[in-house]
Amino acid sequence: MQSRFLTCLFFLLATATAFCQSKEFSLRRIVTASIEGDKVVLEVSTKGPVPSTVNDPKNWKIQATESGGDKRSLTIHSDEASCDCYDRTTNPGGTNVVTVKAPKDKFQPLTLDGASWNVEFSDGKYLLTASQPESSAGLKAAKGRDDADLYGAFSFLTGVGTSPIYTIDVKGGYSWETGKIPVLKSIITSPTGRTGFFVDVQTNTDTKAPVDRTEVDPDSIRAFWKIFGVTGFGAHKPYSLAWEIQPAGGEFSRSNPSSNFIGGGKGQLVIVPFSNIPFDFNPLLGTELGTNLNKPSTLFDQPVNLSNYDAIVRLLAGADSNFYIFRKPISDPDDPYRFSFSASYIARVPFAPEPFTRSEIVTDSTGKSSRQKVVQMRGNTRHYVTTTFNWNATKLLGLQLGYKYGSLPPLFELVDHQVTIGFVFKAKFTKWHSVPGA
Amino acid sequence: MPSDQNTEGGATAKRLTVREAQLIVVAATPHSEKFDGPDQLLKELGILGDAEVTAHKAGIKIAVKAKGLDIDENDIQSGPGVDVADCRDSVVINAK
Repeated sequence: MQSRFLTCLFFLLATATAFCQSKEFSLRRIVTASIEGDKVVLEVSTKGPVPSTVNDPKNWKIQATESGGDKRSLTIHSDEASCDCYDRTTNPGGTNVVTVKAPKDKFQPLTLDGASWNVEFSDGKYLLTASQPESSAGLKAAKGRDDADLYGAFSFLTGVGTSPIYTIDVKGGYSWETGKIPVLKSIITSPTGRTGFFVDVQTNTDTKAPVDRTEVDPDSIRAFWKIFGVTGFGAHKPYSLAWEIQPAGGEFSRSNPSSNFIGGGKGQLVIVPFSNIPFDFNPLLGTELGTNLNKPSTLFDQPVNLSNYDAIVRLLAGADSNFYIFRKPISDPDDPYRFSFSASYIARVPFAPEPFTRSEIVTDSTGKSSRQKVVQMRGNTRHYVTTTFNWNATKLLGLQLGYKYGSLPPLFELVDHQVTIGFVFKAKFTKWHSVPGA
Repeated sequence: MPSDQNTEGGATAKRLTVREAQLIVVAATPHSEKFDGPDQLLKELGILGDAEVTAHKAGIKIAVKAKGLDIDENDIQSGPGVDVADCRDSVVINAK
């Protein structure tokens, strides 16, 4: 009983501390540093309830450090300080930014061109410092494969009686603003338009030991050119339209001799209907156009007739929706969700017959029955439903429940009510992950 | 209009004021009417997941371009756990 009471007390204290910490006054950063006439002017962004003492220039010190030479440094008191403090009724456009000024000549003999700046605020209660943010590196850590612009996973399997098996999963691509490309500039006028090439290669994903010879055979290659962008509508319903045009693309598979040339386009609206419920609804409409590149006589060890499988013309319609429950408080902006629930539905309506693959009991010539994948050419609508529930129990541990039903191109193999349950463990080494200067 | 920023070398660089950037950041959210101060998290203004973050960044870029400046979407901090002030500061610092 006593230990339960102590646990509750500790939890309450921890919650109260976290709440109080988030409400404490602090300095975020120096947003701008400039020289206006004979004054050095710094704009300092703050967090939490701003005390009136920020308007007293005696509480502020400014430090300048030269960018070159001996990197001399000088600290002086400011002579002006004023806060553009937010107030719901009197100053609803307030920014909680404090403008701190000091005479430029007080920094003599420093060279201020390119200097870096720091400020210190000290009013007897708070002792706080802020500096200018460092410019970010060209590469940042991605959350996972889907989130990454560049991704590579390489594994190596070896043992007695087998040559090494290399499994490679590589994804890469780069996009440019269409406004900076001469021809596209006049066609795609959207300021958010981008275009790029993307490649996705997976090798030896199904290879199992033992093997006699080490090979690096691509199982699946996807390569495509894409033009995409977002049109924002601001505070309206719908909120935005994400659009995408894929003028050319190819899908190739080695496990089945299937390959398609695919182009198309789609648009997806983003709607956040309620201001007090963290829920969105995003309807989608698009097309997929292309052609089949090969017609094997057998698939999955079964004879197939793909003689009339040529043009690919599909209409895409569907929607996805997400519901979130956030952590309270959110201590890490990159890890805001306690629970998330996502559902997605997409229907592909073919205008010409395409393969449709089902798992069926087939009886062979000897009278033996077995479950086989059977491919038929059909014109039926292809549905694909996925739902995912994520519970991020802690920052490191989570539970994931998933449900799938339907089929996806190119062979539209039917996934018949598949439920998955998984535990997720995610961690990164703080020491090795954050390479200084990276 | 964006203000002019003087450096000691005499060059003048156009930049957004903090107030302009805050207006842009808030106006580009789905529920800007719920704005209640720079410390407010963007989730309360309807920035919930990846789709809204992408649209928010795009909306900011469009508004920054309309002011005669430009910004790379990757330099904009947005997300449900990011507050208005952090997002706004990233816009002020990176709009050029």
